[in-house]
Amino acid sequence: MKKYTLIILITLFFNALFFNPVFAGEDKDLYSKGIECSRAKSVDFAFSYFDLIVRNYPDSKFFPDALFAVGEYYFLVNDTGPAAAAFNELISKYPGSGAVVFAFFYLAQIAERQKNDNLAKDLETRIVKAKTNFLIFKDFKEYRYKSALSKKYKARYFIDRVEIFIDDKLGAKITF
Amino acid sequence: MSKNTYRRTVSRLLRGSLIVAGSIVFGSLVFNVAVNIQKTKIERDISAYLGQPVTFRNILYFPPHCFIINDISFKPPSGRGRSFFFNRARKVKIFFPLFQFISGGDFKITRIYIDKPVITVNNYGSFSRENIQGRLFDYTPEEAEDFSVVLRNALFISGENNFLKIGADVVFEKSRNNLISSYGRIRLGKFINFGAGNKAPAEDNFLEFSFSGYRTKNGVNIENLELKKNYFYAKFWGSFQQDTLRLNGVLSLSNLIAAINFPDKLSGAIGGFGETNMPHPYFSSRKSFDIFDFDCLAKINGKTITLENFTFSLQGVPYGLRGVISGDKAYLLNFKFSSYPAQRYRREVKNLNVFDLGVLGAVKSGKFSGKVYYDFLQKPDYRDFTRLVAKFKDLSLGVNLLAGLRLYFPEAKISYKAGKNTSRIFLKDFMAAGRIGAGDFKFSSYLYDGFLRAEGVLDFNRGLFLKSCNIAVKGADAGKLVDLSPRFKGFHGKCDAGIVYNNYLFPFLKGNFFIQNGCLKDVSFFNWLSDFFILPPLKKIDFDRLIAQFVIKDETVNIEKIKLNSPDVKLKGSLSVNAEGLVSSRLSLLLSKNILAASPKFRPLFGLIDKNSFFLDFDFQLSGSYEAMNFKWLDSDFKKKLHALLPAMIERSVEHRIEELVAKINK
Repeated sequence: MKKYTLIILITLFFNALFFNPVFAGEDKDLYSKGIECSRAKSVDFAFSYFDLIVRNYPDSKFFPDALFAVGEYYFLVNDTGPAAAAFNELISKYPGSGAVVFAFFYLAQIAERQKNDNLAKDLETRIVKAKTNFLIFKDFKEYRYKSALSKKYKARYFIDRVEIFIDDKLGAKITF
Repeated sequence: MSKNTYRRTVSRLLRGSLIVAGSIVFGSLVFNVAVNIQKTKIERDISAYLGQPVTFRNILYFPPHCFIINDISFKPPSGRGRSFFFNRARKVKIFFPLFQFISGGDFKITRIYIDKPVITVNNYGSFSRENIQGRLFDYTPEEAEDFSVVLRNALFISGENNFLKIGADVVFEKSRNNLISSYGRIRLGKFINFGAGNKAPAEDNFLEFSFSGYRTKNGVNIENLELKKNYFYAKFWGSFQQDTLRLNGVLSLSNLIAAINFPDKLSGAIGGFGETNMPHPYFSSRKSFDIFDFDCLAKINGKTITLENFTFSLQGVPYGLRGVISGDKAYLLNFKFSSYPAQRYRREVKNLNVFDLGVLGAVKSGKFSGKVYYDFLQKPDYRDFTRLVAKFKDLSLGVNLLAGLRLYFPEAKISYKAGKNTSRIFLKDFMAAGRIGAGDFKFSSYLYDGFLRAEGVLDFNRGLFLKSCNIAVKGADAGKLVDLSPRFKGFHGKCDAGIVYNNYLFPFLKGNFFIQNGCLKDVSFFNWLSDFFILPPLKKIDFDRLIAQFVIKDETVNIEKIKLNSPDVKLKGSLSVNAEGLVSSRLSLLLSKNILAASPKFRPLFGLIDKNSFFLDFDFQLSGSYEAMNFKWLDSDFKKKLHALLPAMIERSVEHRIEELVAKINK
């Protein structure tokens, strides 16, 4: 935990030193570099690039994905406060984003960690209500999202349950 | 003394007595004749003294120390400043100490007896202050005379059209050391006429009271105020200083029995009314009530009475009342009655019995118009509550401890808000009667061109809570039930229903409803089915019978055994909505070949349908949010055959098309 915090602080320091003021067109470069880092498994550096986009390019088309990646990273390092803030911002500003279902999933996970069962239940209900599906011949409908941190998300909506997968591993099963 | 001397002495005494008596009688007669000759002048003088025109039949002096005025009547005083005024009295007796009058010329009244007075009270606040703290029981030096007033068969009237009437036999006494006492009996209330059987026993309307206390410079200290009758006892103590009334005490109602039957219009059980099979309510055996910890602080200021703090416990449950009543002819009310007032803002656990009951409005000519709300504050978070609001016009209420309660209003709009959902209901010609002794009640009302009847039982063991209630609805217009729930949108026909509420062990509502010879018109589900398969008859389905059973428990709704029968469409299934608002439903829809033949899309598929079947069976499962439900077409022979025929690309196209259609409908 201390290691991650140190890396975050160093990154923020260098960000402040070298990357301000920002210029138009840089968001794309930053996003590309972030993607490269995440593919190279340098998650901490990838986070730094995405965090720069979130801080400096609120109108960028890469903003929602970068914001989700920032939330993911904070969740990864168990810093749930900023993680929840990032996911909530994504949900409120970009309700149509493909990442919203998974932002709800992370928020529910955070609520469970904080032993807030009512909130966790409420967030699970929001996952259920997030999509309306018509299953004529199929048993489920699948929604996919690949995050900027190279995680593959899948939400399978059955008529009576939702299954969330992260990198093909079942992360949650919500029945209703 | 010889016998003769004795006789002479007695004879002299008798003669003397007769002369004195004769002189007194003669003097009295002369006086009475002289006074009555001067009657007009005396009336004028008394009128001037009292500030209102006064007439009387005659005035008589009864030796040695009494004047009697017969048939006195008063005209209302000009102006509206008076807190009260006399209208009339059959007889007024005025007593005075004769010796004091003869020796000192000082005419002091020590006792007044008034028979059948009728008194109009304009302002109870001023009336109590002027008369209890002022005229009758004013603080006087210790050498003052004893003084008393007796009102026999008195009638106090007030409010517009004199709707509030209080009968009384009262004795007020004040001794020279400022000790005061009063006793007598009062009669309150009148009943709304619902026909025979609604009248309380006349004698039982009387409430005996006794009061003792003493005057201070600023008011009255109440040492003991007792109210009682055979089944009711109350004892209070406190003070009435300046404009502040403080009372503490206890009340007890014991061995209450239901002394009367329900009014004719409400009598009769509701079993067999509507197609229901409802159990009869369980009658509580509890007939006694105890109120402890009575603690009242009120300000009485002119025409305004403010209840600053009024708390008590009934059957061990604490209650609080706060509010204001103001006015003279019409009374403005703003009250809030709460259970568990201390649990209002900080609660760790759910308490089903926490509520607020608010009353805002005006009472004019004995009828209340305004708003009454009831907040169900069951959840620990007091901000998350369900609210029932009733807006009344001309509500009449009659209360009698033994006979119970009568209530009538010509119309009321009632809304029920739970979460984001609001249900509304409009009642007309509502009448209710409750029997405190039995703890039961009945009511009836017109409802959407139909009729509603109900009977129920209150749970007095745990306070003032509804224990069970059976409701029957007959012939209501289903088209108007959309106000009650948007889920009734598109339903038409005459609706009957039987509903049972019970809160033992947990509150639940269950019942059934059926609509006969009605139709479903523009129901979303059938609309998109119609649009998708091009089946116009589904937009309006005439049916013989639609029936369903429902159970509402906590925050879940279960609708079971849904059955719709029409020549070409049959529907059966169930639907439930959980506390999170998520739907779970299975429906089976049977469409006749006749109706399918109308669809150019279905005609080519007729080959897939079993030749021996007249109906094609579609089974669906629904889930998710009620506003945007997920939909699954469940497996059937027809689906399997259709699936086998369709290429994968067409399947995706079909699903995509349905999603578009439903999205369009939901918009």
